[in-house]
Amino acid sequence: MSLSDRLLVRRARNGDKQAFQQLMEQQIVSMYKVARVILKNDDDAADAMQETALTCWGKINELERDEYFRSWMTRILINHCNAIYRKRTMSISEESIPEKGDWDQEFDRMEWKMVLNSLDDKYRIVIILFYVEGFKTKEIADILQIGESAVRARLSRGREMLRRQLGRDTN
Amino acid sequence: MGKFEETMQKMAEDQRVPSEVKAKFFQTLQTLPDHKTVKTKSFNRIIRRGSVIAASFLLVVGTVYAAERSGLFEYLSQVIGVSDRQVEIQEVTEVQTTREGNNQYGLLWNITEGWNDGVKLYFEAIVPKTVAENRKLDIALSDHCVVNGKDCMLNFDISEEGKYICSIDISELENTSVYDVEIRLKLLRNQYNWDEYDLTTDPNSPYDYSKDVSLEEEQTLRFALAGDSIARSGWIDNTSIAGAEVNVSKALLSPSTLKLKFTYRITGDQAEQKINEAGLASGFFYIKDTDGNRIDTLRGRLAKTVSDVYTDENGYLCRDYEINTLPVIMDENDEMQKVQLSTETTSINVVPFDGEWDEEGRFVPGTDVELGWGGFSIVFVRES
Repeated sequence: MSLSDRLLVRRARNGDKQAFQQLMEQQIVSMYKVARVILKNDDDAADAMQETALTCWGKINELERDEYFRSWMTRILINHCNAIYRKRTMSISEESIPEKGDWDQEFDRMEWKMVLNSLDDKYRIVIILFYVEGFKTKEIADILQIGESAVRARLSRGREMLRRQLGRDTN
Repeated sequence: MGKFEETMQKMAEDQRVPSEVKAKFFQTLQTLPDHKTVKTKSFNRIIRRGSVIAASFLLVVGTVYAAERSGLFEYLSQVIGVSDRQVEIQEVTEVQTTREGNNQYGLLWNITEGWNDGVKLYFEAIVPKTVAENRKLDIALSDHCVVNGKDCMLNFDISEEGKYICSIDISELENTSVYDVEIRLKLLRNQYNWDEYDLTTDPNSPYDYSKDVSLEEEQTLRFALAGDSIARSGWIDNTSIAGAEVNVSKALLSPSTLKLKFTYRITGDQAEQKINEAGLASGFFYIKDTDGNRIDTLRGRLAKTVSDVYTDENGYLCRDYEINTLPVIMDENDEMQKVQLSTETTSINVVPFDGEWDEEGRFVPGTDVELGWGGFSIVFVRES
């Protein structure tokens, strides 16, 4: 985390709303990818991101170390995604949710999204946190509150499943 | 690159977010509710004393170098808003230490850079990697230190892992070009579960980390910070204030701080009513400079003390005030505004104001109005 980001976190922890807004604006792409991969549609992803911003603002003065902001925020985001996902699966079938936005209109992006969607949730989340968001296995273990060995196992298995799905890789 | 790696890379590089998602998210950020809770970290921990005492004595040498090289300057420019014209960073090359305890980790703070702005001494301290990266070790320090043999308040901020930016209030010391600083540090070893502690967000079940802390080592650091003051002192200009007298005992304006100490003295039939007017009783003052900038003590980033009313030897009803603030204000929504008193101003006006409070005792924005009496001016000169 850069010095300027650390200062933003510090200011946000001290109640500086503008610093918090700036900090969260920097996270929007990362938040969207994680939420989109879990929830598979933009409306729910936007809801989860909205709830996450509000929760983080409400609890940021409980964050003890500035450098944990990103993993702390991601954990909150995933919790909101899981809550929305559970609520949704109780009331509506996944296929009936319309896709929105320009995300789906380009083939290559559609390709990786579909590939990831073929994975079970527990592999998909670990894969995106590790390969796309760049978290270390220890950090992923903290975010998901599972053991580090479980993270490594899911990464390995998820990677193999994806490689099989993608077809051309041999290892 | 295999298909798998290529797919992951594509996803990592994709920076696009649908406009509907963006709009909803930004709208949420623009309408965040207010909250004013600020968490402070306590360093008052139970410790055990170490047994081994070792001492080393080194020379203190300082040099000046360009501000743009400095991590301290980066902090000062971002947090305080100082310009490179105002800052002459001192490089602190050697520090004298006295050590008690295991002495496994060398100097706990490498003091690398300092700056004297006349009201505060700033310096950067870097913790050795072996300590900074060890999550079982903590450095604890008091909010007091000794400068030129006198007790002073010490504040610190952590600019990044293992880097402290400290400031010492020297406004009560005699002005000099060299300050000898003495700071005591404690290295604590903890046995608590950082992961559980850091990720606990439930305020009803906070992690009790104090039970497993023991003292590993104590160090007393002594070093010198040099540099002439660039603060300006001021004195009251107009003493014929309608309805009140004001004695200003201290007025200092530096790039980092505006420090004022003054006393209102009121006599006459309405003295009790006037000294207890809500604005004066709460210490609400506008502070205006000659460039038209205005900060106020309601929304400023400041420390403010207001005494109880007392009667002096001449029968005047009195209140003492001390204002110690960054010369930057927050707006009515607690958002930072880059309104800053000019450090070049030749004078400031200090004007008490009043306003309305809601049922929960919060000031109602936009209701503030000047009292119409009791304002005074302070003129500043450059320190010689």
